[in-house]
Amino acid sequence: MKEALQEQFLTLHEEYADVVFRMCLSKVSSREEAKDLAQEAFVRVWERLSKGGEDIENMRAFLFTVARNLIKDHYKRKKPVLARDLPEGAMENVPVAATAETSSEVSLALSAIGALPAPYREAVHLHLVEGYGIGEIAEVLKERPNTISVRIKRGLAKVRVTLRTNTP
Amino acid sequence: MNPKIFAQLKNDPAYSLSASEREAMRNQLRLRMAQTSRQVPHTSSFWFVYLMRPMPLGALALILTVSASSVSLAAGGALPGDMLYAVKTQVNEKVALALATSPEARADVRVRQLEERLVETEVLAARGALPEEVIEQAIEAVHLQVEETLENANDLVLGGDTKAAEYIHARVASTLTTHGELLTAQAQNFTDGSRESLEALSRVAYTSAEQAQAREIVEETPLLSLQAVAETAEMRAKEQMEQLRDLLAKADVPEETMYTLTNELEKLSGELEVAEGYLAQEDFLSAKVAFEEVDRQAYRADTLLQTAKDIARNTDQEVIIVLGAPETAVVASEPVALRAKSAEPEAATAMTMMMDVSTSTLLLDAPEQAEEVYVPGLQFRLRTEGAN
Repeated sequence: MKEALQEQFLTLHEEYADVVFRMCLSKVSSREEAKDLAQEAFVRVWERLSKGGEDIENMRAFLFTVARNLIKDHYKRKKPVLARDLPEGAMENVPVAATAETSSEVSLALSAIGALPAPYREAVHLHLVEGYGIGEIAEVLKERPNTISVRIKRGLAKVRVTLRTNTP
Repeated sequence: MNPKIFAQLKNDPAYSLSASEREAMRNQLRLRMAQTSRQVPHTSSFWFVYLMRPMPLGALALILTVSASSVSLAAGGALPGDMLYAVKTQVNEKVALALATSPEARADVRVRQLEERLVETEVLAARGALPEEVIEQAIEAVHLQVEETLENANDLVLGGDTKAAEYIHARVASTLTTHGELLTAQAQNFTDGSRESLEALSRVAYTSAEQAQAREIVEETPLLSLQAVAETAEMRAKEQMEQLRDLLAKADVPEETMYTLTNELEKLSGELEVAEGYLAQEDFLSAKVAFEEVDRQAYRADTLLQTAKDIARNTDQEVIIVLGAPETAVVASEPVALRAKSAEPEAATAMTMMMDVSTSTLLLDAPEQAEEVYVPGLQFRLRTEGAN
């Protein structure tokens, strides 16, 4: 049973490693930190499972919650200034680890998304980058679909405003 | 800003893990998993309650050396009333469900858990001791799991995958019908309140099977051609056959069951060839129907074999499966002759059950020798070796 669970969990890792990694990458500045956080999220979930995991109802939602909490802890440890505490436009020049293939338009948009307040940023990231529907995002972020819909709408509006302001 | 551009980021190396990074993470995770497995289990509610009880030091030490994995493993076969049953239903099954992330996977887990409740009841019935609460629990599980599974199927319909949803409906219906037949047959072994309880559970199984069938999705997905549908049915039928073949190869079953199921596999292989013939002639509708029938028959045999194994493992009875086409099984002399041939003088309690489920009429044949109950397409015989 345990072996079967381990295999199932590795399948889950295979499926969601990139999603969790990108989720972390959108909130921390370095790739290495994002990898470590993503890795730790999976380890924590496994530890909970191996202790019974009676309280886990939705594995994906639980995994994302663990990752989000780790990111919060990460910030607390580093004591950085949180994006939402920054004045408008302060993160315009946050470097985006994009390759040459990533268009400058996307780079700018990613910077703008990175500058959004956390609740908007998560919803917009999951929607735009991961392609999740509103229902799915509501499920993983444990919010009502209406709330998510509003966050995406307002988040995108803010991104557009930032882009218009910054586009030469 | 074109939102579609963002979707491409998933393929951008800067925003994805490389193969080596992924592999490294996986290996690290494996390592951490292995370390966790070696740890002494924590005092979850179950362990806490158990360890709080006064016990000899030796027993305590013994329990502490039992790893979490072996507890979980041992709980897998637990029956209602067993000490580890709570671990099975509250830990193992919840974890399995939590790990299933897609609606299809969740439906699959739920069907298996629904079946588990029915098999537990059948095992206890075969043992002759059937507490009322076990029946109640099984009835509740049928209602709940069927509802939830069909909800998962509904999610698939909303996502546009009507074929997968239809398949789930068929699986639920098939599982419940097969167990409904078994429970009806088993009820005949009882004369007390357990008989009524088993019949009640059987009725719930049949009603829920009808509910699943009634909700069958008729809407056709325009994007899915009939050829693709037929090919999916082919794949499923072949996988199901393969699973049955594997299970039979590994199973330690009585000779008669082995003979019956080997014949069944041969028969199904023939039907599979016919279906493939339809496919080759591009008669996709006939192919679909034929493949689905092979799949259904193989799944049914698989369900029976699993249940027979569970009952045999948990009781002192030998379980023999006799499958047959309804028209041949109607001949009352066949099972009687089979029994006469196989029954040793000491096997005095050999019993063949025959029952006409469609009319719910008991057809008793030679009642002075044994109770005969006819089940179209299925005869399930319980025999106690060396009893009385």
